[in-house]
Amino acid sequence: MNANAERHPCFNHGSAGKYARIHLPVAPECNIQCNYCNRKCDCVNESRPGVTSAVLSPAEALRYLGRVKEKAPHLAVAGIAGPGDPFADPARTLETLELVHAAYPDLIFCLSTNGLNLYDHIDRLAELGVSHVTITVNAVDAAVGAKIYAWVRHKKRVLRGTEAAQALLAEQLRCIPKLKAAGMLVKINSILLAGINETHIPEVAKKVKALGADIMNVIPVLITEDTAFAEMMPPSSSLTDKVRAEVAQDITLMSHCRRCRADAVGLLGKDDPALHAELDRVVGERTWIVPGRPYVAVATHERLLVNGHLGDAKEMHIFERRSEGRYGCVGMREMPLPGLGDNRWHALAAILRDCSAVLVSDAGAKPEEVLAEEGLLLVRGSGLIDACLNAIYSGADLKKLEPAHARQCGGGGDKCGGNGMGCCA
Amino acid sequence: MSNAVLEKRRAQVATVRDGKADIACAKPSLAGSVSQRACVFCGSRVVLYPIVDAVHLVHGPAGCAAYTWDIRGTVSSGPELHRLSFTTDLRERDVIFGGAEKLERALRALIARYSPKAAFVYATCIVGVIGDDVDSVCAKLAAETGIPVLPVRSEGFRGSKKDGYAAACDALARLIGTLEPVDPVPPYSINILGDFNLAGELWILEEYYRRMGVHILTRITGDGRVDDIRRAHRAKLNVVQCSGSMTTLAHHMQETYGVPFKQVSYFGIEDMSAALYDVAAFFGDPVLHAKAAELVRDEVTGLLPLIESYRARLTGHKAVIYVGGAFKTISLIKALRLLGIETVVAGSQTGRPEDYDTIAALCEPGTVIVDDSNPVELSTFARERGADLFIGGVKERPIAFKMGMAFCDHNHERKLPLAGYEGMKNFAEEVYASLMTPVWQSARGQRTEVGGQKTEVGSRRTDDAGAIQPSGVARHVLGAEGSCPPSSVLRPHASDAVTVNPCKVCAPLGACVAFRGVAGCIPLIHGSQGCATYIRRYTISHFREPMDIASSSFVESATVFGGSALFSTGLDNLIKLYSPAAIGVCTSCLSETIGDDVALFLREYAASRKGAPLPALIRASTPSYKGTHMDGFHAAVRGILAGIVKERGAAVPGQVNLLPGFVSPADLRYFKELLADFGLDGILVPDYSETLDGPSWEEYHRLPEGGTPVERIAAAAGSVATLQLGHTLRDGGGDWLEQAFGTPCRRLGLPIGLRESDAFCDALSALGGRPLPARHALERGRLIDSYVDGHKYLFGKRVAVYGEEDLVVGIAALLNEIGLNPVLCASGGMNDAFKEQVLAVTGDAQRLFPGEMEVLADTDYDTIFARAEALKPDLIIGNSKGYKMARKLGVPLVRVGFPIHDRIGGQRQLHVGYRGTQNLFDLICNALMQAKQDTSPIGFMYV
Repeated sequence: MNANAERHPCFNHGSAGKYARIHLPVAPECNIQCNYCNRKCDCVNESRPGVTSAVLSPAEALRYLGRVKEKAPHLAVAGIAGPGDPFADPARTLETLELVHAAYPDLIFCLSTNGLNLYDHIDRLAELGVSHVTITVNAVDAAVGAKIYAWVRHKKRVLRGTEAAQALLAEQLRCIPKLKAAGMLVKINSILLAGINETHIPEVAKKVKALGADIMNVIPVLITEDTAFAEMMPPSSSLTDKVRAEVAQDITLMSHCRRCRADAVGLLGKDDPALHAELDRVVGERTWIVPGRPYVAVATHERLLVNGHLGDAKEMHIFERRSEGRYGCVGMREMPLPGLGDNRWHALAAILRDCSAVLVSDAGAKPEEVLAEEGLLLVRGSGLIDACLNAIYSGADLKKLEPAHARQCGGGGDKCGGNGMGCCA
Repeated sequence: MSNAVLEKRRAQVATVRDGKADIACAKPSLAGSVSQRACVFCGSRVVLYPIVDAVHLVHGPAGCAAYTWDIRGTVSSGPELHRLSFTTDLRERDVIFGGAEKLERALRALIARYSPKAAFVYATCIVGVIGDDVDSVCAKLAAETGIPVLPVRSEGFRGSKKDGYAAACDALARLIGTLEPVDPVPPYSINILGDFNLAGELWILEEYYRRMGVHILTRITGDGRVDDIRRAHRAKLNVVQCSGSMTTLAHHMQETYGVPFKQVSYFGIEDMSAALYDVAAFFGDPVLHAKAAELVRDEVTGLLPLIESYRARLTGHKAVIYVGGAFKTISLIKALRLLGIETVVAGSQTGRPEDYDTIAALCEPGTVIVDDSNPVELSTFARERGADLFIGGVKERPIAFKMGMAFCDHNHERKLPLAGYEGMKNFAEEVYASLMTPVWQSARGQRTEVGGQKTEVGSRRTDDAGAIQPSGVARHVLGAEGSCPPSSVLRPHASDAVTVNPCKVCAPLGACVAFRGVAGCIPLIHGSQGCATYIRRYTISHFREPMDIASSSFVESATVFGGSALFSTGLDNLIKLYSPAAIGVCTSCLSETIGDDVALFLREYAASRKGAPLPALIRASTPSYKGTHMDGFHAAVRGILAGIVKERGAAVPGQVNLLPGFVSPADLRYFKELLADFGLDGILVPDYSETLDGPSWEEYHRLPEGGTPVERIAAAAGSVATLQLGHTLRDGGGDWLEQAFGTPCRRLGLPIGLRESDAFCDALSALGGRPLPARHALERGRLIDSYVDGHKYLFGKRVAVYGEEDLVVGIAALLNEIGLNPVLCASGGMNDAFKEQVLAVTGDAQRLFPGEMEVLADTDYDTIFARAEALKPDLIIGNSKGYKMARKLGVPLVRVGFPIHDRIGGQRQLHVGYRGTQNLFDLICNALMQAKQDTSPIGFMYV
């Protein structure tokens, strides 16, 4: 174990009280469903893996890390531990690592994954300075695994039962030697599930040790509501001790695990609220508004509701933010006349250079594309204009604004009047 | 959620992920799942009911008509024929020999009496089975009377509520295009489809359209007129709300008359506004559009400050939405979002896949979406998702209230307009009021004991003890002096072929109430889904308690091949879902008519379970063509005893069976107190004093606590005696027990009034070997004292009383002893002992007011109204169904019995014993005193 590695609190009990770590919650999706896991994303009172108060984009993660580092110079480790799996959507994970590695090359990087879809990225991870990888292996026998996983999504297929467990296991096992070959420390997590794998975990230990894993962590399951295992009895501490003792005969045991949240920050077991507040701050700064373009253009019949269709609107109403949650209309601009083909949308963009977004009830895919080229975000919305503007100005998920029947037009051929009034009009 | 959702229902429950939910729907309800759905008949009745100048005749037994009599909030600007309930009230004889001839006479009588613009004839389950040629009768009457007479194929087993919509649309389609408009139709003319003018909502919409410059040609069907509907094909556009019910008709009109349609919703400002703009866009007139924009601006601007103030206070609350049609669910999600309320459980009875896609897209990840749900699921999801508000209908209300959740009624019974901008304001106010009321401080966090008695009892003897006994129906009961003509002749419609406003509901209702009086018992009706649903709604409105009733959910194939498979599926599912101590099975008109042998089914079911522990299986035969809810109640009591009592056992000193009859939960509690005070150990059959009037809960209880445990009932034969209440009751459970095991049966009247209470207490005294306990003696003394104090206000006042047979006999006994003149004693019951028993308890009244009293058995409210009008009572005593009569006659109504749908506390009304009599006496005195005071020109405050 090199000097650098010894500062990782999860791999070294001695450093747990000294060196802080940060989990960057950039991986919302998961590619498997463990029967004990529920990734409820919004509860600050719940502390367990799979939980985070927000999911960040890679750029936001970098900003967040920067601010935490300023406040906490003893920060030694940055990791990605969900709330889903880092390799369910590897692009987000890799982009985050690239950004962070460029800015903080000295930081220790770690990842916690189920191992699925990891293999092909191992070389790149090594280049990006990832030195610690944790793989959760609950079983090395697909028959046991079948009891633990509801489904596994592998190569765009959803597998169930033994087939699912087998696919997952195969991926996990082939990753361990390759990770070792790439010079990384490999930790194996096993969730202890009484009645399912308590006698099996020692076999897991033997197997992963043989493949080269460095350290192992046996974690008693945390019973979580609204999961298939919600009614299960948690393993007794004597059982946990017994299994750990058996495991320790074969592999170095890590037993100070605190089952952290996907957005944990601070010392292990002592999350720092002041640091966590930085996460909220980053989220609070979100906006879809681009500097220099303070306005949003809205298609509306009466300046209260979003109800104009882009192709149909005669004018655009220009809104600005007056104060938190308060918006006002600063004027109205006439839409370029139809009949110009795509030029109409370029012309529209030209008169909306001071706007960041165009808010309409619906629009075809083509104008959306043209406007995007011109730096204008097309937002499909419904209901009160103010509510939609709130979402745009605060960088919220815009998908939720969409009217119930959006995106159904434009493809109707002859039937489509392009007026957003439905295909039977 | 695992054990709340039956295996076969799993596909109909989904959780939203990434704006999607994989859900199955449009399936028949699963037998035994306690679906919230109704039946085909219900669907048809819902759609056509608001046509106000047509006769709506329900061809079948009286229950189907009784449950749909004037319970909806749909209002008329003119005629109110729709608020009457007409039924051929089929009897056993009709079922055997056919009801077509009766239908013909009924139609002829009704058309002659009311001169309607059209008549709709609804075929119920039984009609489909006995094969009455309804079409021919309708054609004949149409030719004879010159008005459209339209059959509606609404047999409950023919599919779901949606098929009922289609049957109704079919009838409407036959009307449309049969008349031409008199005046030229204005260019911007539309029909409104699928608004039922609940609480006058249609008038609100009409005003919006008028302000825009749009003319409404026809309203289908809210505030609907037959002739307008016949001319509807001349509109330029159909605007369709509640697409589930009306899309069939809209498509028909598009194909046949080229009238295009638009689907809209009027709930929430977003959808309401879109509806107006869509109509403007259709006509393509910029003036129309500008007017719509002006209207929306005015209305929304006026509404916004209010919405914002509510949103500030409501943000963060979480809602469950479960309504009939998914279109409404979609609108409600948006309307709630406007108020800052997130929807965490969203469902509907009849949603289509595309509706659920839309719902999933609107909802946050983790939202539960559910199709054709039931109380167990809904309560579980509501709790899991932390909801504190429920938007639903009457059947969902007790689920919400028992769990301490706020509730907003968004169903057809509501009397508050929720459509349009005005409706949005009402909705916000209603939601706010229910969420913010301080009563939750008391109701939540008050934990009560969970889990009733659960006993595992093997299969039960299944003889015919639980069947309705043929009562030798006396259709014509004469007045006390023999001077009155037969009641059927008194009927204003001058035809015994039709019952107008039934004074009874159907037999399974009584059976289900009785079954709820056995601990851990869940009722199952072997018949169409609607029987269970109607009964649930009707009883919930009275008791204001959860009333889960399962159904074997008949489908057409079961009607042809027998319902045995559905029956055992139903039992399986019920056992899985409720783990009941007992299942009370009652039959329906349908299963009786097709000849399903429930006794055999139960034996086969028990045998197929091969010794696996089973709940006690109780059964009652309850075809409504043979009896009323009272007969069903008594049949169930007999069935409970016959199904559970197996042996004489050891005699238990001091143990007494009390068969109290259909009294209120408060009455039952009083009986138990009285028995205890006499030192008697009472076995009440049934005892729903807690199951139908229980405390507030922390968690939803699948089966409410209370009821007499099965093992207690099993010991009933060892009691020293059975007290069987009800002078008119023949072949009751007590009689059966006496015949089967020799347990002596004492037959007494309902203890209402001093004398009947004395008789009851004397019996207890004899059995308990002790005199009337002091505090009851004091109550008795005070009652007599009050008789004296009040007699000046009472003497000779004329009273009309109606209701269940024994209740009327009891009230008549009270009236008799306090000097009132019971000029009319009426019951819808078919019991031939009724008249005799009324006469037996009213000797003083007959002496003091000779020749004045009329007794009507097997009658309907129409007849009661007509006779009351002639007899001019000063006071009316009965259930809520007499309100219209009281209002018309301008006399007070003292509400007793069942149902009490227009006051709170029906379940707490005390009728029996000295204490109950005191309560009734005070109510009667005060009602008369208040009437005198109110009608006095002076208005003394000292009387």
